[in-house]
Amino acid sequence: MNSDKTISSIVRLFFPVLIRVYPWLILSILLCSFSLDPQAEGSEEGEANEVPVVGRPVDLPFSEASGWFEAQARAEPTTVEAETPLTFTVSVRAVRPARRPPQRLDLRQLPEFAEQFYIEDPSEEAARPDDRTWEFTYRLKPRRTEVRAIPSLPFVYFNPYLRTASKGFQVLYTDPIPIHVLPHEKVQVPIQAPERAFVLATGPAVLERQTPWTPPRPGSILAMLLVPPLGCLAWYLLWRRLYPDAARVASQQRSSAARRAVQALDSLRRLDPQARAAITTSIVANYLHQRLDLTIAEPTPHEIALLFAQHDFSPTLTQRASHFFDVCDRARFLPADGGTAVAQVELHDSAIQLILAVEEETCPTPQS
Amino acid sequence: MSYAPILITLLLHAEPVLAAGLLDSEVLERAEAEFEEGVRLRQARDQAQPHFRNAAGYFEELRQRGLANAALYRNLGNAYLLAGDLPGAILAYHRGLRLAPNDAGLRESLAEAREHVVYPASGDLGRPRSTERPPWLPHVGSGWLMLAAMVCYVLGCLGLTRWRMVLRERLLFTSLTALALAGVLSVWLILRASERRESETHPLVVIARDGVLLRRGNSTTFPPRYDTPVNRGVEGRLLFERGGWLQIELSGSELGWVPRDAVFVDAP
Repeated sequence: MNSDKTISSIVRLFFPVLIRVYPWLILSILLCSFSLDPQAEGSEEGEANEVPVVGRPVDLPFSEASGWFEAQARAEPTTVEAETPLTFTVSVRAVRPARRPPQRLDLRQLPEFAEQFYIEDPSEEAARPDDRTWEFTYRLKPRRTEVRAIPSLPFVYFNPYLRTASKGFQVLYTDPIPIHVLPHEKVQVPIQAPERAFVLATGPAVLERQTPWTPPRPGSILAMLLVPPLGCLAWYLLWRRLYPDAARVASQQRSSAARRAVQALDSLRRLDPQARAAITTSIVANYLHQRLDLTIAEPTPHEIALLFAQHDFSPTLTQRASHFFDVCDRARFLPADGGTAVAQVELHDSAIQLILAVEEETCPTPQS
Repeated sequence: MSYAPILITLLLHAEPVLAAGLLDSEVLERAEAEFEEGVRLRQARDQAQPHFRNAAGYFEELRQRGLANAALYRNLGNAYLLAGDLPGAILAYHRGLRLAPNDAGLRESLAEAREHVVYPASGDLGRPRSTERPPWLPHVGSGWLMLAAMVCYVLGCLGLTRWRMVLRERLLFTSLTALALAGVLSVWLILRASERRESETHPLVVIARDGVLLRRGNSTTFPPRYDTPVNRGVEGRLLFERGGWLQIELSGSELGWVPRDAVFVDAP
């Protein structure tokens, strides 16, 4: 009972005060609630968007994204030749409103990608299929035919919705994508060579056994050098034995004057008889000039007989020489008839015989 | 000088073929079949070259059996060339030309093969000397040369003898001309025999791979004689052999030592 009285006395004491203060209390609360500094609220939100540095995975590239995300990857095509490109697309979707959008990851910083693929990184903006999705496209070329899959892509982002700061950085791994890499189709290069190199020699000649030429032995060379001159010597001796007259004539012709005269007489055969008679006389006179010092250009038969007598030639030869020049004069100066023609034909042979007879008496040939 | 290691090198160089029990004609048939298959696939080098390599192996087998003629060496050289073995081709063409110096096809093939040799851009190290010989001038074989010399000699002797008989000046002039010609041909023949002896004493060598340095001595410890290396296909002569190293002289008289496995030697 006493307590009830006490409470009643307190209420009666403070009620008027409460009645008076309450409106002011309500007003103060309202004022406080409306008097929140917008700047203060903005900085609070900025702090929420800020991505801390502490806690980031050091071995993975950071996407700079802040929010709550899901990540998926796809590739097209999944069967390619080595060193031909395929398209690899990473799709990031925000589950809650993103504080900061994701940025393109550099796949070259991921060893599993860099070792297995040539990475072409086109500087394209991320595609935006909708407000909450970002798609990053890469062109990958498998380095080898042994590449079996596109490895998991670690997508690192900051999740500000998690109140535990130490767990703010999240890593999502996309699923590996199996691929089939075919051997690269090589460009066929033709063989560059001259056309003749493609031609094959055929036939039995290919199976022949040829040996290069070898010089003969010294004995053979000596024989080859000696046999011809010895054979010729034998021939010459045989000839002398078989044709002694011819040998004698040849010996006599060795007088240079006689040889030249005989050769000059031989060259007259094609001339007409009249001209031949004149030149024959001149040749024989020239010969006598060289051999017997005849000083007269066109000697008469009598002058020839005197010359031969002075040189102690035999009467027969003297008479023969005189007769020769007499015939020459007839052939040269008498009109041509049958007898003269015959004389002209014989003139040539008589001249040679006269010269050889002079040579014989001048230097007789030793009898073999 | 022992050529056994060089022969082994040459044998290893050739494509190994299992032709031991085959007749020569059968080996030739196989070689021709491989060659023709290579020709059929000539538009695809990677596919054709193994066939040419096999053909070269079969032709090499025939050569090892003692067959030797210009046609075989032309086939062998062509097979090596198409298989991409430039030194082997040059060596085969040289061997063919030794048997048939007048074979224009072999000579042109050798010239074309030499065009594929990579010589240093600066200088003439290893570059073959250009021959002044006019292309129309025939390469007379030594046998024919000797026959011509003998004919001239015999005609000269006969002519002189006959001149002694009849004393015709023209005969004397002709005989002396024939003897002079015989003398010239004999000198030519002696020079050729000397060249042949020289080539037997110092056989042909062909550099077998690229980037071979000519050293001052028979070891890698010796410095290079020239800063510029020589490439495969460069030709030279073997001067001396010591301890697995060969002293060679290139076409431009450049001397140097190279490892034995860096060259092909034209050993019999």
